[in-house]
Amino acid sequence: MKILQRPVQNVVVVVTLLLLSIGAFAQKDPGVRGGLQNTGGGLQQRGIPIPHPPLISPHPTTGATVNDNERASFQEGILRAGQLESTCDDCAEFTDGSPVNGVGELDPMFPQFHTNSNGLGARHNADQCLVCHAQPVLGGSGGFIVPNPGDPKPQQAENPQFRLVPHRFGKQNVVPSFEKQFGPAREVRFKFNADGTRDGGVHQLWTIRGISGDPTIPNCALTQPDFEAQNKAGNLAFRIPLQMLGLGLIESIQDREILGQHDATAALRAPLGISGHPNRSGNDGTITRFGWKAQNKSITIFAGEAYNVEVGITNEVFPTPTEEDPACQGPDKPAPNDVTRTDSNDARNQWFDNPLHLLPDWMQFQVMMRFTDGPAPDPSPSESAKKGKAIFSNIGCALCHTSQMQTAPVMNSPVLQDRPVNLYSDLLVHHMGSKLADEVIQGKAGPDEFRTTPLWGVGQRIFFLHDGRTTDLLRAIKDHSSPVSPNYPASEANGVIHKFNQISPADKQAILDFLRSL
Amino acid sequence: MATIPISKCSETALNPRFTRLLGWATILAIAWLTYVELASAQFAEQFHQTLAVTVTEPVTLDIEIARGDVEILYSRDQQVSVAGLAQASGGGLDNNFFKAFLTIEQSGNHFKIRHVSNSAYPEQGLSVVYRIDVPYRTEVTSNVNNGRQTLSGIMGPVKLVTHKGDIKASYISKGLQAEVDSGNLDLDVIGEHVEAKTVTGNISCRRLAQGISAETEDGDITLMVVGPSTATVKSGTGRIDAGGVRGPFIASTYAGDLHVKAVPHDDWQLNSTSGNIRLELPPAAKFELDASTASGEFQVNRDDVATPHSDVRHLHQQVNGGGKHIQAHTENGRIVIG
Repeated sequence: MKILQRPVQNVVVVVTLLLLSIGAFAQKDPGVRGGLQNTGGGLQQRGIPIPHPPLISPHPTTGATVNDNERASFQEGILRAGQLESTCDDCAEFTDGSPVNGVGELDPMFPQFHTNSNGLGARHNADQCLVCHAQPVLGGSGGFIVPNPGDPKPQQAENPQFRLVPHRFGKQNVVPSFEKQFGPAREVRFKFNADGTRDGGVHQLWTIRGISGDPTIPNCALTQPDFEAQNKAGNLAFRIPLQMLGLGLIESIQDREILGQHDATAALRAPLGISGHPNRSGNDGTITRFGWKAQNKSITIFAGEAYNVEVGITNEVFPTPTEEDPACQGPDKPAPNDVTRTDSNDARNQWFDNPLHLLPDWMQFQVMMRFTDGPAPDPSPSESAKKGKAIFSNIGCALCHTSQMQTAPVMNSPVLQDRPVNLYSDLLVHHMGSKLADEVIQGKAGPDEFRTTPLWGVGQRIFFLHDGRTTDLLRAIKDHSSPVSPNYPASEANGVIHKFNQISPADKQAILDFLRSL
Repeated sequence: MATIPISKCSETALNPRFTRLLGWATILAIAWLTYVELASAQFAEQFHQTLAVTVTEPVTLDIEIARGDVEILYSRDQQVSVAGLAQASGGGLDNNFFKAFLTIEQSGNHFKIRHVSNSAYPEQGLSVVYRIDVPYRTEVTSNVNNGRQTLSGIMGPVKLVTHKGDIKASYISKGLQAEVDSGNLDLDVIGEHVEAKTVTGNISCRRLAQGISAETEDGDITLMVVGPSTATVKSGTGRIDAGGVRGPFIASTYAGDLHVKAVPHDDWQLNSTSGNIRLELPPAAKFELDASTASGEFQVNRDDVATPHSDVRHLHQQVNGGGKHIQAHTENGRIVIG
């Protein structure tokens, strides 16, 4: 009898364990809402242009919309952000600031194999803004791009930093091992200098060495930093592109609103060990709020910085090139390069040679960011997602991922003023512990501190966390937790993640479904 | 500055007859104001509908409007939103207004929008505006009999016809054809070649990299940063004003003046029957000048072109070693070279 009973008992135990383990692992990130094939580069792969950034919606109360000039600047900004840059000051194949037609480009406003602008820096991370902001629409976060658009033999959309940008127009770059074909588009900062002092700055991935179409730099022989050696030494801090959608709304939130929302949750945060503080401008002391560490004050500063750091294009706010090797600048390339043109002789007016004197690219770009709408949530969220919204709040996620703030009561543009912003961020920085620490200090954000990433649009993002380490929301949530370590305090998220770990698999699933509905 | 004490004013004794007159005057004034208010009151009727579309194929709009303004503007993908606003002074609008005038047919991503005349609603004092928010990937064919057309931020191509009213189009990625009988054409940043025609209106264009063929019977043509381009004013006194011409340029006017200010990137061919021709080129520009006037005169405002005698009718010179061919001819007008 015992002999007969034991196998039955064993089966019962195994089945029970199986059921339990299924329960434990039942929750699953549903993935990019709408599917990769219907967003960003997935559309491109099917011969469909990537949708343009949405224009800010009418004011929910007053009905105010952008005025004609704001609309025109928004449209002009899309055009400039989509431009593909050549190196010298007049090497572009198509007129600066004009759509590229008649040569097989899928979207004339987002050309991929014909240049229509000038000024690409000798060192850069990208040769056009939107190549790293294309998920789920242009202006979004980092995604995939078809590397050979127009080629009769179609290819799968992939990380643009894997083949497209490093080799476009003959550039002879070695692709570091951390840029994977279907991984995130990453840029790198070095944590420390060789002498052990802190670095923290961006080291651009690519050089223009070997690029075709610029006869003015035949002797440019720049080499890339030894990224592999730095990576092996653990000296690289990775960052992935943030989305640009809705940034005008975030910029329109007053400091007092940010601080007021923070103060209002003090009693709930304290027992969970959540503090948080604003990053602040070293000049006027106001809250800075853009970037992974909330290091940038405004969209304008953000745009000027990105033009110089990411594309190597100097401008009014960042006038000095990151690489000054004269062999790679060309004799006629002025610095700063992308500036408001005031020449009396239009012949040198960067191919516009006209009396229009339009704003420079980087300024139009920032206007475009200002008037993009925030990412749209799922209009028909599932019941699980609706339930997840409540659980998300109940277990304390919303104590940092503040669901809503209000813009300032009076703004220059009525469409931006006094309206809700469903950003899901407190715009403050928090200690996140050793698991996320990147050893980069920016302003008042320390080596393990990060801004609470706004979660609007997270439903259609591919990669998560500052370094793009995962495509799995569940892992992203769990990596919020870190115990105290010799170098860092415990993560401020530990209490909330502990609560998350305690809830049922169905409730965890509901949170994941909710996040993918954003 | 003197101030009037409030107590003194209130103590002033008024004549009873004057008070009666004042009362009647007040009543009449109120009655008149009420009449004027009613007569000039704006009655409004609104319509709004949002329709879902897919991103996998372009949206096509086929529009016919008998009377009313149309705005077709980029907003976001995956939806088309049609809003109508009708306003009438002195009444005459009701809830059935848009039902009587407007039909919207949708078949997938394809839309037919029609606004037809309806005798039930008098057109006097009636104003109708349609605003259609569309995805970037939208193609448009629109025919408006009487009204203004405004388009912005779409891929195109676009074909617009207006009998009476202005057309304004900007940030169209592909080509555009626009034809107006009576009204102005204003075009800004069009990606492919543009064909623009008016009978009496002006044509104004900026940043048309793939060029334009512009033709008007009687209006002015202004081109800024365009090329290659052909601009023709067929008759009348319309003038042509071009700046930042980037490619070959052919322009002719009947009685109007012709003014070009640009770097000579390519050949120019400029003709006027009785108008003046004025050229403005950068100081060190290289070009081959071939200018002639049958009965006019030359005025040279630059050092690198020799000033001809007053009886000279044809000026041919390789300026700064020569370059692109600039041909300018007028029958009766003057040619100014600067």
